[in-house]
Amino acid sequence: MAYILIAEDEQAINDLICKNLKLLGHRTAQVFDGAQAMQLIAEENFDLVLLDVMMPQMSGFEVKSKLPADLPVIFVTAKNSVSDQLTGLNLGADDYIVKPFDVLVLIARVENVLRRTKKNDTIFAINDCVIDLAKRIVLKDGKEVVLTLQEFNLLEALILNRNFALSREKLLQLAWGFDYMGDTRTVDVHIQKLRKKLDLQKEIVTVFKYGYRLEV
Amino acid sequence: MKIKFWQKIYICVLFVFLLFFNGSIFTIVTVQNSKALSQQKENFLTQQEYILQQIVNDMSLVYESRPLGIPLIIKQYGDRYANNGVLMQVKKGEELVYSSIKYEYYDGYIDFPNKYLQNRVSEIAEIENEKYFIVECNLPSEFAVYGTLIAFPIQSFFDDWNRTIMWINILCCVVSTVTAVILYNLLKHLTKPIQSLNEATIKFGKGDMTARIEYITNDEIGETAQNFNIMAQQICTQVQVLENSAQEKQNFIDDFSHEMRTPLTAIRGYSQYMQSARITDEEYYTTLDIIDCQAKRLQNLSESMLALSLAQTEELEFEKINLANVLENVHKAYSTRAKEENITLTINCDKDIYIRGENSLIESLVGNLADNAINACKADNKSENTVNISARKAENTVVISVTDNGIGMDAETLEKIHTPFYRQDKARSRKNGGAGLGGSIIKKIADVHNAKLEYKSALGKGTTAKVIFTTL
Repeated sequence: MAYILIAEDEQAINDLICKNLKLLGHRTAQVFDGAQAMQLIAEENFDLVLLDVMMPQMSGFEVKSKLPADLPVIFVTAKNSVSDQLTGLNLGADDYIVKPFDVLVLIARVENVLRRTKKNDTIFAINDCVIDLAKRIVLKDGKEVVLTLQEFNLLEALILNRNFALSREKLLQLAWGFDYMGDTRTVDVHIQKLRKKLDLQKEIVTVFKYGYRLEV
Repeated sequence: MKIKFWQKIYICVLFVFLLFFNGSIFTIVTVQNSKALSQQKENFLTQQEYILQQIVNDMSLVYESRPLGIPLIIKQYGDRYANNGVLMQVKKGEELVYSSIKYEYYDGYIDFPNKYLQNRVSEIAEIENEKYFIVECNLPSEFAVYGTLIAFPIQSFFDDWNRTIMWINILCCVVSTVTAVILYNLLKHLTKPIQSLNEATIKFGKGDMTARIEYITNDEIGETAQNFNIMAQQICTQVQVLENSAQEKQNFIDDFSHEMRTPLTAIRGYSQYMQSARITDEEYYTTLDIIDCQAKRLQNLSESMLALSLAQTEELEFEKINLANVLENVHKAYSTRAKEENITLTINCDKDIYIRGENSLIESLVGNLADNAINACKADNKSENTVNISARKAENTVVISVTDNGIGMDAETLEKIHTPFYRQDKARSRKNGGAGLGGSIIKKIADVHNAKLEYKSALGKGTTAKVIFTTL
């Protein structure tokens, strides 16, 4: 769980990002202009800042230039020209996302940055299972459960996107990779296996006609 | 290898000068010398005639009395002339009678006994490395058997000639060199302005817009330089205008895309959220509400953009518009909203007031003005808000004014009100779904109708917007 600041002057979008991050279990704070952002960053200890560029009081670029270099920053903005992207990245931002964005992509990039700055969680607990993503070990009730490679990858995908519904195609992509030319039925089969091995029938929910969701 | 213009001129002029100068000198000298030579030859021929005459006279005298004295006479003359450098050889038939030339030169008898002087043969030849003018002739009548050869020294003539030629050559060389140098420097100096013109052009071409020619000479090159400066200034101004225009367009696009992307992000984001996450019923409804709101915002934006595009098209059909109708329609359109916001909306219209214009645009114009007025009142916290729309006739103008006692505008806003997407209060305006294009639409429509647009405003007190149409 990370403490993330969202600086965006559009209420609706700020709320949207907030809601999504909360689903992942992160703690969030919201500000609506550049000056507020500077103030709050000085007061609190954030693990990541999501910055819009076109904000009143102070632009996102200006804010970033005044921040310490070790505070991870992702720009989320409608300014998509090459020069703007270069400006943002040259200021030392960890990533630059252009609106409109895909929510899952945003989550994946947030996770990436947190992983790089070692602020992500690698150990998750669901019911009596403990899953260590770094060591790739799953313990149920203290005893190690042996999972196949694909089963573990699938579990990892569900955990990293917890509380979000993932389509079968998406799960195939995430766990089996882009080159896999198989059928999505293998996803169903592996889900069954996971549910059985880890006793997560309630937590791994089937989303009708869509896919699956891990609810924690 | 590039040859410069002045170098071309230089080479041509120098070449022409040298050719004609040296050519003339050479020709004159040669002609002079030829004349002199001919003259000299004539002299010698005359002399030869005289010498032979003398000899023949003496020979005639002695011929009868002492024929054996002839060789002596000849010798006398021969020696005497040999002292002066004139050499002789005389032959009687094949027999050599006298010679002051050291070797046998003369061939001998010429077979024209009766033609004497006309058959003189003369040539220039060398005897012992010295040039002589040699005349061969037979003696006349009874002495025709004697053949004579007289050699006149002509070496000095040629020596003089050569010396003269040498001095002339030196003179020509000196003159040519001096001319070459002077001409070179002169031309180089005169064509310096071309050089500076060239340099300025190169500088300008490389992107230095400040390049100008400082020193203007009083000739065609100076004129060109002056025109160059004028042209450069024109280009600078034009470039500035284009840059400004491009910047304006870019700003418009940036703002427009932001205005479009933001609601789209919200719509897509919330739709995805509803698909992916497990949400409560309450969240379900609030999320759908947000999506609807944002969609309305997009709708406003697209409608405003269309209105702006319509105003920008050039093919507008103007007709006679009764303003009373327009104001009536606007009143109908906005009265409900005004009532909701506790704003008193009033209309005043002169009778029979007409203008020429495009109907939907004029309605859009008045509508947007009314909209702005209502928003200004909404943002205000006075207890009683009024908006008045009036259309009045003046001397040769028609004035539509919209007055409100709302929040008013500060100086910056008054300046920027025509700028697309500019809003006085961003947060509030976006919440209401405003696209921010109202100001620029009003301006555009006014421009298209050749009407003047005026704003008078005091912060906190209210605003009056006037659109002044000149009647035809």
